[in-house]
Amino acid sequence: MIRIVPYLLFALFIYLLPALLAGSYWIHVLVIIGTYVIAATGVDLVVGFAGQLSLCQAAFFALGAYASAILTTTYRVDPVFALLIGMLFTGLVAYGVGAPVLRLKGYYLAIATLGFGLIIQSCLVTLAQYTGGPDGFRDIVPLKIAGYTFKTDEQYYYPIWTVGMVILLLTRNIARSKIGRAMLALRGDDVAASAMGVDIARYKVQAFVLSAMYASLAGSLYAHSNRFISPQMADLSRSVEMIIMAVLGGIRTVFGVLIGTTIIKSIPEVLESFLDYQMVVTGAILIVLLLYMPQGLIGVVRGVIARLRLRGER
Amino acid sequence: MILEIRGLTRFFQRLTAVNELSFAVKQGGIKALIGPNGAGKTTTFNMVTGLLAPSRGSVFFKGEELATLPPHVRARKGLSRTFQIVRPFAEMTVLENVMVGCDMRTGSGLFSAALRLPRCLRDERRVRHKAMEGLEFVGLAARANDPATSLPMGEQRVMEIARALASDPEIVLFDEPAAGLNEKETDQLAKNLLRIKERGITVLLVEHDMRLVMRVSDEVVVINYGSLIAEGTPSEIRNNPEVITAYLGKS
Repeated sequence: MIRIVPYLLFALFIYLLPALLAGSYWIHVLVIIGTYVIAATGVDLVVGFAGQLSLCQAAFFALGAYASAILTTTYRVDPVFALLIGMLFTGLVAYGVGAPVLRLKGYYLAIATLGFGLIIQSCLVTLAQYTGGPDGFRDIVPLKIAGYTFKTDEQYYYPIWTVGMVILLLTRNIARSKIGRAMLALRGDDVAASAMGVDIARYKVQAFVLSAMYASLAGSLYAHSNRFISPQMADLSRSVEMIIMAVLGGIRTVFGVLIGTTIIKSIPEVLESFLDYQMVVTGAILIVLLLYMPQGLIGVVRGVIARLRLRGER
Repeated sequence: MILEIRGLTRFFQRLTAVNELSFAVKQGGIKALIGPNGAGKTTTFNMVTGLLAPSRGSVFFKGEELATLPPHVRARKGLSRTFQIVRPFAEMTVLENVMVGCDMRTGSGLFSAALRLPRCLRDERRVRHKAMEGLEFVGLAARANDPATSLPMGEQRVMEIARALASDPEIVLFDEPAAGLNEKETDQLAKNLLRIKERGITVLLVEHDMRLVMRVSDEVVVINYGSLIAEGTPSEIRNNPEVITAYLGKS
């Protein structure tokens, strides 16, 4: 039971944070971070655990966002209901794409998912009568839960982070079950996994669909809290960014996702003048990550601790 | 007969790797499949486990034709294996590697895993216990929590045995289990194979080490150029002139 304490402390910290930052612009940043934590958790599942390099997570994010925007704003559907429909729809799309495409491996899978992302992005541009085309979708109605309308960032903070923490907890549980083991096994050696009774096709698709539904959920929340979305959000660069969020902090760890997302989404706020060079910075981070710290920041910290311990023993 | 191979044939372009091969494996025994390099042993092995589709012929397991069933379905039916070149799951401990083998026998799914329902926790405990038992059986319990890839090769092979046994299979196929092992490790392997047989599990062994084969096998089948050339007890095989010619070359 003691193991629960850090999680409870973390939840307490999250819920008290707005009081410390009252009125600050950082609440807005934290809302964005909370949204992307949900999407990045899905990336951690499909890329980190199942080892399937998906380059269309931003497209799933966009599908959720546009589903919510169109259903609530154009057709006046209840936002929560629209969000669930979005998740279901995105999950079905991911299943339809994933079942054939996940037979591919490595680069081929990456290219195929990249292609799917491009298709979604150009659909969002082309279907202008529903999506608003390249100019984006404006004035999305705010989130409304049981008659309560969310308007300010302070108001969005709590539902978004609550959902975020629930997603993190559920995903951690999945990761520590036989499902996480099966995914990790197929990532390690799919031939051996299959010989040990792991239905590799099923677990690949399961990870892909779950990650797509997480991304869709995050997209819906983003659409309401930001009130404006554009096809740009389905861009490949955004998918790459989501992968960096999952990898930078430390792959396959709850806190790694939190740290990675916080860093990536804080960079443009801290270095405002860097906005034009944002892709340069994220690209550079990716290169440094791949070359020097494949286990992410948590891996670096663990390495330092292990080295200090060794020195202590001597 | 727990496993029956009938007219199994496999072409690779013009090469006939396995040609009209037929033999059967008796329940509860140890049968060795031997032959010179390139005789078609591994090809046969891969067709039995489902990694490779036969060009012709069929494999029957407990009277049921396996046809095009994928490897994981064969595993669930009770057909397990180890690998010639060790294939540990990286980023997992020794215990977790073995747990993957047990997992196919539990029923709880995504929903109960996400919510850590009692059902999932019970399965988790059972699988952990079972995997630990397996590691004790092969004498690797002390390394349970070490990363699998940190083990020396000999121990990784032992871990694969525990992993292959984890699902309570009816037959285990060993693909050159003695490759790369020293004399002491090979001796331990022979003892383990006999202990597996004692548990009532059938063994099909592909092996180059003749001393090991002669020591543990109840029956031996010899193939060369993809065809069966002899079948019998170890002593019959030892004195079979055709086998001697195949191994020593024509003189």
